[in-house]
Amino acid sequence: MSNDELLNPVAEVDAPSIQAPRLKDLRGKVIALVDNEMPGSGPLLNRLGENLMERFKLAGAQTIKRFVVGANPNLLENSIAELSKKVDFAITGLGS
Amino acid sequence: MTQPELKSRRFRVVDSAQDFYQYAYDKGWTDGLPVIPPTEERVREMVGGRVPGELIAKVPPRSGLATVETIAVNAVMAGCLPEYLPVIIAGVRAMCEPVFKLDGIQPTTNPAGPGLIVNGPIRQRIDLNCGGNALGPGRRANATIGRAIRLILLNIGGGTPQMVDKATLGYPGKYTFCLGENEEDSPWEPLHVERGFKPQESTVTMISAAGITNANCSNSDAGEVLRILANSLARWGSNDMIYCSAQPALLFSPSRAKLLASQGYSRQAVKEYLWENTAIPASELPYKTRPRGSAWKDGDIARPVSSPDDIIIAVAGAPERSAHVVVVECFPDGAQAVTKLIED
Repeated sequence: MSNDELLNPVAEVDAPSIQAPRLKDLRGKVIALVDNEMPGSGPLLNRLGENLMERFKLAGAQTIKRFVVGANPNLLENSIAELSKKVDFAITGLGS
Repeated sequence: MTQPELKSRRFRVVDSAQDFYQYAYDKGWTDGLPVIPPTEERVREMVGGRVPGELIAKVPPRSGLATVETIAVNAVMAGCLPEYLPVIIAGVRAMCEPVFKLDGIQPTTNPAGPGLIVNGPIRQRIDLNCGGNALGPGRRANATIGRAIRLILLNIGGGTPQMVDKATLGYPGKYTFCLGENEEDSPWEPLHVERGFKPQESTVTMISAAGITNANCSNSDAGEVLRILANSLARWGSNDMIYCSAQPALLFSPSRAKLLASQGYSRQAVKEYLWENTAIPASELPYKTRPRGSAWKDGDIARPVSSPDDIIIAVAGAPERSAHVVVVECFPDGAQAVTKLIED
């Protein structure tokens, strides 16, 4: 090898920014705070729910644990469908 | 005939392969081991007659575009021969299926990474080790196919250690984890046939391997062997036991598989035995809560799997001298093994 042109192994990305539809007014709405149950997430979400309730006059805030457990690939879709019957919007987080 | 354009960005490194290794290492493009310089000639040879720009999958979490070309560049760097590429492409397709949960595996603190079990006639064509030391060193196909998958996770999927890949310790199987099923010495039908493919087809079954445990099963009684394996699967501290929703794999040496078969155990019967005998009342576990804080309820039963069919069974290893069965824990949270046809 002597000054050969080489090909970069890092690929381009295709990650369009996707946002869930936004509610125009949060007043009277119910929020689900989906807890991934990592250390510290519970207190953080509880505090977040309290703040949102006070600031935006929400009707309620529900903390959801064990949102999806199991190997069935339909579980996530089913869980989202069930949750959407109970709340108007949801917040979750990813990572450790 | 005009060759199709290769669209990867180009760069030059003056002088030696050693310089390229250091350059690639400094860029974060390697697993730490030396890599082969991906010259256009080598990449073209790897691509062969395929369309370089064909999109195979988007690799999470970065949504990097795994085209034939970008896969080929990483395969060259890993040391693969061109005839390995169809296996790698099938592996990429498999691990990027949503049910595999690569978006959870890439950043997890678990010691998890994709593991390839190859079936069908391609094993002989590429000299893939299915026998002694199939999970160990010594064979180019096993070593470099698994390694190519790791470089793809890194350079296409963005799984940079400690930036995205948050493994607490990791494990050596994240460098490479690729073996063939020893179909010829198995008393059971091949894994890919069980999963709906024809015997003459070649496939990759991708599992989310999260460490291995060796079970020494030198007993001559099938029931005793199965008791040992049930204990290995249902051990305290296993992620699979805590989350109860994994698809662990058992890699039987041929002699242990034949022992079970000779005493009347089909592959399905083994799964059902293990399903029955890995159940532990949660009240007997030495932890009151799961790691994420949810408490066990009265009457809860802990199991590593949700059903007998969530146990993956394959036969591999040396045909004669083997009392061993390798238990592969897999990523929990419902991640599923995925099998894809190898198109070569």
